[in-house]
Amino acid sequence: MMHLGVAIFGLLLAAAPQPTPVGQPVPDFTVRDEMGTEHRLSQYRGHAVVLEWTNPDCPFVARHYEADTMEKLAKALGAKDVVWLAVNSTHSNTPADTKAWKAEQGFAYATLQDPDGTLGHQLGARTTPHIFVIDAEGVLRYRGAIDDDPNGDSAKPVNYADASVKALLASSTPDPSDTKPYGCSVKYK
Amino acid sequence: MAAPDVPEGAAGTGASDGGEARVEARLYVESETVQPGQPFRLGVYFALDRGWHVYWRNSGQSGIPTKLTWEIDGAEVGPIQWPFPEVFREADGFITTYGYAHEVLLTSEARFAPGVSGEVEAAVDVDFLVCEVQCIPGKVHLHRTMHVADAAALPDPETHAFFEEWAAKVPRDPAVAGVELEAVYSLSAIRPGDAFRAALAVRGCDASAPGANECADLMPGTRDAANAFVPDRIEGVEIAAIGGSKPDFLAGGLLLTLAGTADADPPSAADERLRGVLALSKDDQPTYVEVDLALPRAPAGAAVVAIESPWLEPAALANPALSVPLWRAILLALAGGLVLNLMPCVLPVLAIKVFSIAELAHRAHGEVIRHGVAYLAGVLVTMLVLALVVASLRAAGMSVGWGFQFQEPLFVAAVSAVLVVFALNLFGVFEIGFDTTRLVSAGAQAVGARRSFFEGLLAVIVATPCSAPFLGTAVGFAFASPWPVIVAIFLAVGVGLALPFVLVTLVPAWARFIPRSGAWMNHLRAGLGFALLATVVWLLWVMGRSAGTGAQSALLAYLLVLAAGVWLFGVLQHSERRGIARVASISLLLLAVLGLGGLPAAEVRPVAESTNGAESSGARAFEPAEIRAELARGRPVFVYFTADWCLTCKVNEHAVLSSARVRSELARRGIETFVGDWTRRDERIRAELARFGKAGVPMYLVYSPAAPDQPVVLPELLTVDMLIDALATAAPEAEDRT
Repeated sequence: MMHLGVAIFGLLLAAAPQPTPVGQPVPDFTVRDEMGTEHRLSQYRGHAVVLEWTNPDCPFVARHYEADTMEKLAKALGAKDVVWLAVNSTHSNTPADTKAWKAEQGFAYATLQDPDGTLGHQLGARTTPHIFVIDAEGVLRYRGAIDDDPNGDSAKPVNYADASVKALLASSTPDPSDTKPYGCSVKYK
Repeated sequence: MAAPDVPEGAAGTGASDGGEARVEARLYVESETVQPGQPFRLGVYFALDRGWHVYWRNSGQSGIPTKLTWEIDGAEVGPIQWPFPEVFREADGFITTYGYAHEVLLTSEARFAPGVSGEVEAAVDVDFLVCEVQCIPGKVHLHRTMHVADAAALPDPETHAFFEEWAAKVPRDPAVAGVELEAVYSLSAIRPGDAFRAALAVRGCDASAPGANECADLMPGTRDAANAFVPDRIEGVEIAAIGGSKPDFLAGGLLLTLAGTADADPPSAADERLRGVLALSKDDQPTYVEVDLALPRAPAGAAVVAIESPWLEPAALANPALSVPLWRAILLALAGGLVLNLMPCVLPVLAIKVFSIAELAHRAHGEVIRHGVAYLAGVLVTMLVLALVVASLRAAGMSVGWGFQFQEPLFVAAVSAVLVVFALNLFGVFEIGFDTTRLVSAGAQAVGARRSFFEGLLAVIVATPCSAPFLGTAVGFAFASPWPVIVAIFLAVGVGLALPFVLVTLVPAWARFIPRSGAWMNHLRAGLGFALLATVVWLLWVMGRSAGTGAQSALLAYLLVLAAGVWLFGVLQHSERRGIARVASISLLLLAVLGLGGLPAAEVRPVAESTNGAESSGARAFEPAEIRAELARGRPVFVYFTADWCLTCKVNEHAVLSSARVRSELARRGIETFVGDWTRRDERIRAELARFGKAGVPMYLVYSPAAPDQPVVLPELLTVDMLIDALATAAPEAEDRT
């Protein structure tokens, strides 16, 4: 039967490139950190890489840095040849801001400077904190929250970043591999 | 309504932003005194600073769901009843979240265990995240005293009304709301890594009602229709609404198109469902519905079947016609009608009008006005008939577009016949008027007015195959509306079409510019007659292309016989004997109708394949799948829609599309060209035109592979520069970018 169809609305999704889904290789990227050093994803081939989206102005990030969640984990995983990189996609963030914050918090890992949001859009980073775990072959294996404790009131939170990396080191796939991240939205330009 | 007052302790503030609290929370109970074992409602109300919002049960791509932790001794508290949320989009839509701005009441149903009595403290811990640009987590502890007693107590009417107001916004079970939901997926099951489409069909039909067609009219219940469906989170699957339509086959219902992608890693939970909430306007009543449908999953590598369904056709583009309010559609129709006078389609009629004006130049002003009115009446009556035909065809389940009548060979034949008769009249073969006596008694006026009416009719018939600027939107709006709106819009087009001539008749001063009638009038008359015959040549060409040379010859033969009949009629018209004249006119009418009725036997054998434009330009026939494939390959695409009977289309094709500049540009940029030929009825082309709010041809679309769902729609009156600009934007070359 012929019909008279009337479109009511439409949104455009296909126009924007979709972020890398879990289980797919992450396209290679090169981003400078706060010292101006270039980091290329492919240079870490053979190592698991953890990307941690961060923004010091976000209360959730502040809570985890007060508790040293990231710093301790990065250190522990670093001992197992795992690369930990923070990424700041806040449009107003400068390398000087990052250096000041790093000095205040005293953590060692580099913070990638992504003020135009390219890397954030490529991976689909929406919150701070937002964790992405990439395996030694460059495939995205975990995407989501740092832990299962959004409100910060759990006595024994499960750290998903830790669990995912340990699963990879044990040659299995993380479960869960996709959790709902919590926190502030990334302040893209 | 304003939130009622609460006792001390039951109100608190949270989310301090430099000393300023962004949220005030209040604890409400529907009744201070409740009976054990009886359900009652309690809730937490949030009053938010302007611009700040808290989150729904699925906060979306950021944020945190609001959490209520109840502590009431001896009572069980049910889950939160979430009112339908608002959708917030950040970073150009990259981050979508769901929640509440300004205020919200989150309620739960609770019940004290039998045996509980006396004063009980009801306490709640409220955990929330409130965001504007920055986000602040908040924590508020609220408490108040309740009385549990066996004596029934009526709730405070103000508080009860407050609860009821918010309860009305809580989505209900579809069965309760009188709504049916059904999902169709583009794959029989979704494997890890699959991208898929889903169509969510929503119907408001009452199956129990006698006469199965008791269906409510459904519209999206949110101002932005894209926000009418808010999904719950599915682990490993992203779902987003991409379009909505209101197809006839859903009988007043809605079809929402969703797009989803599944992660490449297998899901950890097997029993996945498509869940969410839906805001509807059901027969203009706000209705909120819970969606909970199966989402078939399959393991990686499983064999699945791609499902083809008209439900899954991408109706993803906004219909520009429907975003227009009625009064503007009517104004557009008026403007479109006016502009029609300038379109190539109407030129033959314009020729006749020029003649009429010349002829009327030196008549009495009153008579001239009568002509204007008769012409207007002719246009309007024809438009009314056309509108009613469109409405009744649609009621019969057929769908048509602007100019649809030219897709009917019989109609083309009838218009040819009318034009030939008119031309013969201009040649002076006969006079219009059936009664020679009356012609004498009433003077030439009655005949002239009748002819003006007839000219109005002809103007409409000849003008309709062309779409024009403004007209596309107006008519597209009409075709998507109930019949009174169709009539109103068509009449507005008619008024616009008739306006220039009517205005001329109202201003007597113009006559000064036209010489006194004389021999030149007769020459002009004959010249215009030939112009009409030229139009007939075009119609014969249309007939030949759409129904074959057999039909074309049959039509020619018919026109010849008709012309002979008209000549005979003209001879008899001047006879002294009225009886003969009357017999002659009746038999002529019979001849015309019978002859036309006899035509179909000879034709309606369409030629094998339409090749409109394709042979000359290397264009491929319109095929949505091939267009999508070319775009996926990264190639830009130009699509044009045309019909043999559309003179505007033909003019554009000769002046613009076949021009050397355009052809070299298409070749140089590697642009694939497709042509949709609407000379004959074609449902797919009609649907494609409707998707862009157009009801007729021509239509020109330029697709860039960067935005395959968002072609540029070029105007009906095309220019070479306009087209080349659009092509350059869609397919930029290295030198264009720099």
